[in-house]
Parts: sequence; C-alpha cells; structure tokens
Amino acid sequence: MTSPTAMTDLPWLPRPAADLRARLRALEQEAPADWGLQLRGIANQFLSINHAMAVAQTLERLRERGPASALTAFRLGLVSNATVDFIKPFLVASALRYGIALEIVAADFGQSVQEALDPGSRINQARPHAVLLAIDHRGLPFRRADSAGWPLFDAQQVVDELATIRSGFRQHSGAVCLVQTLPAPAELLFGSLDAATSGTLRASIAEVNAHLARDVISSGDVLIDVDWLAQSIGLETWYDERNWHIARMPFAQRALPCYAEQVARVIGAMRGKSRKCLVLDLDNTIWGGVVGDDGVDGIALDPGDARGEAFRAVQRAAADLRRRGVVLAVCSKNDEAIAREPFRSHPGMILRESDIAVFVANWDDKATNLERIARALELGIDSLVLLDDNPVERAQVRGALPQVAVPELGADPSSFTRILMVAGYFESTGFTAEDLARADQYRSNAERERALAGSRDLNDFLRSLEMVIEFAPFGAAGRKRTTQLINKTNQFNVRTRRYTEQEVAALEQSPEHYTLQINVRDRFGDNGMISAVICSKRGEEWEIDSWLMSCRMLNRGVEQAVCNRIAGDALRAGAKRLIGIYLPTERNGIVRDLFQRLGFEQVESTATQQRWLLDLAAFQPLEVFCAEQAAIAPATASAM
Amino acid sequence: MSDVEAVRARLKRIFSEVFEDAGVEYSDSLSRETLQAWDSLGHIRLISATEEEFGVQFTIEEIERLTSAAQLLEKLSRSA
Repeated sequence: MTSPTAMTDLPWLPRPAADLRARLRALEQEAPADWGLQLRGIANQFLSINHAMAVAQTLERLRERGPASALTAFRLGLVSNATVDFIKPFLVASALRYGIALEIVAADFGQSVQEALDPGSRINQARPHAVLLAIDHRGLPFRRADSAGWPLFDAQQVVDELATIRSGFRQHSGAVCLVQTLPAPAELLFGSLDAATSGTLRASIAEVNAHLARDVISSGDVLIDVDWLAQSIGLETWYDERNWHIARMPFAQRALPCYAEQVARVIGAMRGKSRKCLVLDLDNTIWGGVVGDDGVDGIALDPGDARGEAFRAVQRAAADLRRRGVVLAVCSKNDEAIAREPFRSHPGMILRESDIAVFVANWDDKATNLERIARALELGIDSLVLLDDNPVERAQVRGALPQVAVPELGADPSSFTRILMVAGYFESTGFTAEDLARADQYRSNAERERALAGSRDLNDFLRSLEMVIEFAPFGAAGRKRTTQLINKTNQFNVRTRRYTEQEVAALEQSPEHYTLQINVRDRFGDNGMISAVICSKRGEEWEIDSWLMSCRMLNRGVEQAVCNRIAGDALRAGAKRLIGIYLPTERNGIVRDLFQRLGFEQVESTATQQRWLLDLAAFQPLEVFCAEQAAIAPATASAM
Repeated sequence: MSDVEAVRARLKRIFSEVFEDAGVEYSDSLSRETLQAWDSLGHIRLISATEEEFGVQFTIEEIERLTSAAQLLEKLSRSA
C-alpha cells in the first residue's frame, strides 16, 4: 500500500480530490450561507501551490461579498527578507484548515526594521492581530562587518535586532510577534568543529535560537520552531540555493505546505482552535489485531516484537499527550468487556483505563459515538481528533462530522505515532498548571454523566440490536465450524475441552449427549455460529461438558438465552439438576463468574476446579434481549 | 506522434494547470512578454512544474533564458 509519509506531503491530510477546482468555482458562483465551512472542508486536503492559490483566491472573492459565519477573521502582518508571494496563498489556505480567514498585510521586501519602528508603516497602520517575522539567517546581521579577523559571525547583533523589531511592532501596532527560530545552513566552515566554535555561523545561530527559546514566550510573543521543521525535512531539502538566487525564495517550494501549516496551527492555537481530545480506536490502532477474535493474549503489544513495539509507541504518545492536558477517549466497535480486557490484563499495555475519560465500545456508528463523547465531555465536536486505522470509518466520520479531525493513516503502524504527533492538532502557545489538571477533570465529569445515564442505556442498546438467536443440535451442516469453535476458543470456554471433527460427528449420534450450536444475527448482519454447548445426560443430572462462545458476543445477553434454553430442554427431558464445571486456564478468566451470574450455586471450589449446581425446579428464566428463531432440524441447519 | 508533438502535449497540460486562473490557451508563441500571468512567480511555478513533469533540472542560466513556450519546447524536445 502506498501512502505518503514524507512530512513535506502532510501525510495526515487526504490527497486532493479531482474536483477541487470545480468545487471552488461552484462555491464562488453560488456563495451559499455556509461557504466558510465548505471552503474549510476543501482546504482540509493536501494542496499543491496551484491549488493553494486557487483556494486563497476563492476566499478573497467570497469575502468581498460578505463575512464568513464559520470563519474567524485574523489580520496578519508579514515581514521578510525573502519573497513572500509564494508563502501568502499557502498561509491563507492553511489557516482555513483551522477555521481562520486570514488577511495578510505584507511589508516590502527586506523592510523589517523600518516597518516595525515607523508608526505610520503599512503594518502598524493596519493594526494586525499578529506580525509574522518570516526572517532567516540571511536577513539578520550575523556577519561581523567591523573586523577582518575572528569572529566571523556573532549572535548579539541579531538578538538585538530581533528585539528591536518585536518591541517596535508591540509599541506601534499592539500586535504580538510570531518569532521564528532559525535553521542553520547546510554548509560548514571547519566541519564538525563549527558546532563547538564560537564565531561560526552554526554556533551563532544556535545561540540565537537558545535565546529565543528563553525569551519569546515570557515576553508574550509566540515562537514558531522553523528550525525543527527544517531539521525534520532535512536541511538539504529545506534550502534550495537555486530558488534563493533566482527568486529570493527563502526555502524550497516543496517545504511551502509544511511551513504554512506550522504557522497556521500556531495562529489557530492563538484563537483557541486547537483540539482538546484524542479519541482512540482500539483494534489495529493501539494494539495489533482484533481482540475479539485474537483474544487478549493474541494481540500484538509485546516489547521486543516489531508490531507490538509500533503499537506501544502509539500508546506512549497518547499517554504523553494526556500528561500535557489532552483528554483521551476510546471509541471502538467492540463489546465493552472485551475492549476493556487488554487495559486490565495485558502486560504490554501502556495506557490504563484510568487514562481514558470516556470509554465507548459498542456497535453503533462512529459518528454517533463521537457526538456522545463530545457531549459527555461537554466539548465541541470540533475539539476531537479521531485516530483510526480503518479507512471506511475515517471516511464515514469525515462525511458525517467534517469538524472532527481525522488523520489519514497508512497500513504500517510504525508510521502512526509520527503522523499523530506532527499533524499539529494539539498545538499550544503556552503551558500552565491548568493544563496539567485538565485531563483528570474531564474524566470525573464524564464518570458522573455515565453514572446517571448508566444501565438503562445498555439494555436499550441491546434491544436496539434486534438480535435473533437460533438453536440447533450438532449436525453435519455446521460440523466444521463447530469443530473450529471448540478448538479455537480460549476465552469464553468453561472447560477448554477439545474435540476432533470425528468426535463431534460421534456426538451428533450419541444418546448420552445433548448438543447445541447457536447462531445469532442482528441488525448489522449475520454473526453466524458463535457458540456451542455439549451436555452429558446422567438421568436427573445433566453436566455441562463444554460451553464456549466467541467473545464478540459477550455482554449481549447471549449466554443468558443459552442458559434458558439448556435449562428448559433439561427440564423437559426429566432432569432435576444442571451441573456447571469451570476449569481455570490462563486465558478463560472471562467466564470465572459465568455460572454465578446465571444463578448457579457453588458446591465445590478448589484451585483447579469449581463445581456449580442449578436447581432446575426453582430456575427462573433470565432476562434476554434476543428473539428466538424456531428450532430447526439438524439436517437443515444453516452452514457457516 | 513525433517527439515534438508529445512534448507539446505535455507542455500544454502544464500551462493549463499553472495558468488555469488566467484562462490561458497554450500556443508556441506564448512568452513572458505577451502573457501577463507569466510573471516572475509564474515563471518559477512553470519551471518547477516542467522539471517535475519531465524529470529534469535546469541550471539557473537556463531558467533565466527559457522565457517562451517555443524555447521550452525546443529545449525539451532536444533533450528528450
């Protein structure tokens, strides 16, 4: 599978749709009331330079006809020692992704100091909300002109000049400055010694960056770490000497999308557009495999295993985000008990249940569940990011809830963490004690909500599944699947007895045995054969020899329906007691309390075996949530 | 289709993508003097799109010299 992974391609965004220009033209012609939202949707793809120019132009034309309700206006001053004509459309298009309608006021080329200090300058007159200092080392006085010897370069003059520019704008326009850290050039003077030698350009730039890191945030200005960006994509890619000499382009054209993204997300953060909650899918997103099928012991999460390590890295990133105040939630198509099981018992898990503010595992569609999560947390739907490996789910959510951020993920889990951590969803311009406490606050709020909504919802939900259960004795038609279930099921399996296909065939004919194969279908489709039962008939006492079920069916009232069925058939056959035996294994803890939940009395308990008894005369059928299909003869039992 | 024809067809696509908003129809006679949208930034976009399409890299001298469709066509046909 080929999906982009280079950061210059913004791999978390969908690739541009073929009808992008047609949609822009339609938007300009019709100018619908929600054009802001629609334009934001169009900008939320990877845009080439020609696309970005077209998007910026559409915004300009539509804005002339009236303000956009869904967009926040932001006036940005822009000074640079380089050509900004390429940067401008990309900044506008990227800001749209954060719901910002950018208006750019640019100074003339290389006029940063004059523009800042002159109260009547274009930028100061425009009273911008912020001024972006898009200045690189070539626009700053690093080179010592006053001496012919050493040092060749010096940081102090640069620090002073940047301070002058910043205070000028603050004084004359009231705007904060977005100050960029400086990437070092790719060329060296000595070699490795440059990093360690005062007076080289590399050392001087490092000194300026260190100063900016200390000074900018405390002064109320905002830092944009362009140095990180250039390092991430590589200095060789970042610097394009040809375009610098021909057109004074400060960096390569390929870097324009990621540069503009980085600036836009900071502006978004200044206007409260950053996301607050990371919603995690489970299967194949934070662990490898499907826990309902593979079992807790079968999922990939082990240190030392490549896939396991990749998923653990995703979990560690999510746990780190929580530490800085991002709220975590789970949204998984799963039975809740199965979904929670790895959190409780898998030693490879890094995330704990206590890290998750809202845990939603059910079979409803994801968009509905995301709305539930937002409600439970009292957050806007536009505060959510959904991390999900399944492209169908991603498309469904993007279509139903365009406000939710849904990063694209490729097929390789080793790429998930970086995509999540560089996509800029949780950009922040400051870090406070409140941030630290936030994740816990959301969790307790959500728990209260859950206590109120609680059990009533679960029963309603089970009814909403419209389950139909179908019982039949073992037979030739289902034999292969029955044998497979008997030999593969490790979790919901009270005695873990294995039978070969021949033995299963023999059971079909055995007068001493009672057997059941169980199919369940619901409104989402046919689950096929999901459970099997074998009982030994011993006169008035029936003993459950085997009872196993696919974990997908847990917590849906299926075991209650099966119990009702066995008890009813045993009574009709003249039995008085039903015996259940639980043999604990490493993997079947899930049924440790099965017989207790069904109303059996414990008659024996040792480390290796529990024996339970159900008095059939006193048995009251349990509440179930599925309708029963009329029993059918084994000969016509549906095949799997 | 001759080599020149094939190159012209690819150039036509590039011109229509780069200058789409200016509604430009390709012809060999297009040049920086005659086409307003072919300004210095248009030139950079055109050059990068051409380099990408043909898998070539021009020198800065060539970039300054290749200022008409006919010149691009000739240069690319010769190197093809």
